[in-house]
Amino acid sequence: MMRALIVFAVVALPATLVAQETRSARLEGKLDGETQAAVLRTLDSARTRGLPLEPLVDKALEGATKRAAGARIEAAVSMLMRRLEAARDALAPNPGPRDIAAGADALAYGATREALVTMRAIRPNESLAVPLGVLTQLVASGVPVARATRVVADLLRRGARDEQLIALNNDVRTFVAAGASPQAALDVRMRGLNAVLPPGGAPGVVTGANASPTGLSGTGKKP
Amino acid sequence: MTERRGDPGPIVDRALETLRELPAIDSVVVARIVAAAARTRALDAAPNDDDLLPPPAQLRPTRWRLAAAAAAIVITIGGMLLWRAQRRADGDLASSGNAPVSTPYVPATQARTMTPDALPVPTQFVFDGRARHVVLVGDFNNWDEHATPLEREPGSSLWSVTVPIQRGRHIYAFLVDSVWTVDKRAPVARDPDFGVTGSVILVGRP
Repeated sequence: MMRALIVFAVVALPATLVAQETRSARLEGKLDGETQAAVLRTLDSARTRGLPLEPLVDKALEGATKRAAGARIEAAVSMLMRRLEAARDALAPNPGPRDIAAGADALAYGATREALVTMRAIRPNESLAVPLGVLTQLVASGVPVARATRVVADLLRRGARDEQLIALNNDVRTFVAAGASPQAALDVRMRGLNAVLPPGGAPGVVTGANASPTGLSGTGKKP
Repeated sequence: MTERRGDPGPIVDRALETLRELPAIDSVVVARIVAAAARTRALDAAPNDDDLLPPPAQLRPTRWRLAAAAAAIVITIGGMLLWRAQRRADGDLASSGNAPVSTPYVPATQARTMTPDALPVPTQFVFDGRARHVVLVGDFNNWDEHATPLEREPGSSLWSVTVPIQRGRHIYAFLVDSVWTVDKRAPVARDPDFGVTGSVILVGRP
């Protein structure tokens, strides 16, 4: 038994080291030594908190590619870690790394913790990466946070598919680019979606929606 | 040449003659051999009251089996740890994007466990403009300035590349002759962290 434990330790330790060294290697040459050390400390802290590390590494690399100063990269990575933690807690109990990263982005754009909790309650077992991304983009387009949150949550409740949410966002952006106000653009597109999605409650299949000018398919559920 | 039915031929005749020349089987000898074999088998199987340990003939295979099982468990757990560590290190979020691709990139180890919704979606990026070299950087390729060059359509100013990207919202930009350039066709993402705006793409199911 003791021999087996020793062998296990010999195998497991290098695995952990491999993971750490790979992350370290990805930062190697991209950051100065001091910044890299600070970022690695943040990564260690994130690891102990059970947070996904990939978004943090990405943030550091993004800063490096954008030629940001080391102190700014350190601050950005550190702030992202706090947002990841908040998003992870809001999206409990078992959020995936992509959901946590999307939640952190949404929080950065002003979405509230309650918005994340609400969306998780509506979609407990599916990825929220796209809905949270759409929420973030709607807010970035100028739609007030509360309104954007209500709209996305309502559409999720009605069984809107990710592709419908993305189409909504793209259309809003097009209308805004053409001069419409973000809220008016959202209202117009929501009227189109109201024609193809069931009213609030359990999602169902809506017939005759293929003729909808929205160009969206008629089922309120994922196939 | 004809051969009549019932005529076995010279080869069979010779075989029969050879068999006739063999000595007759002695039934006493056969019985003695069988009895000896049975005794040997019974001795091997019977436990010896004087021994505190099982006979070596039984002990050795058991030890080997235990050792093999332990080794298998260790190798399996070690392999899983290595795989998980590598997977986490390589990034759950996206493929490495080391080269332009036109088909979904799914490492074999991940393909077995991924649901269809988790599969990366091939996504095309197009830049229109005169340049010597255009590269795509984004949160899906580690912001690597060398990973994802765009290819120019011959005889045009259109550059493109298709990369597999996980569903969700992503930030990216083009490096046009090493100059940071946003995608004119995409929405712009403000950047409170570094103050350099990028472009946004929302990736859903194709």
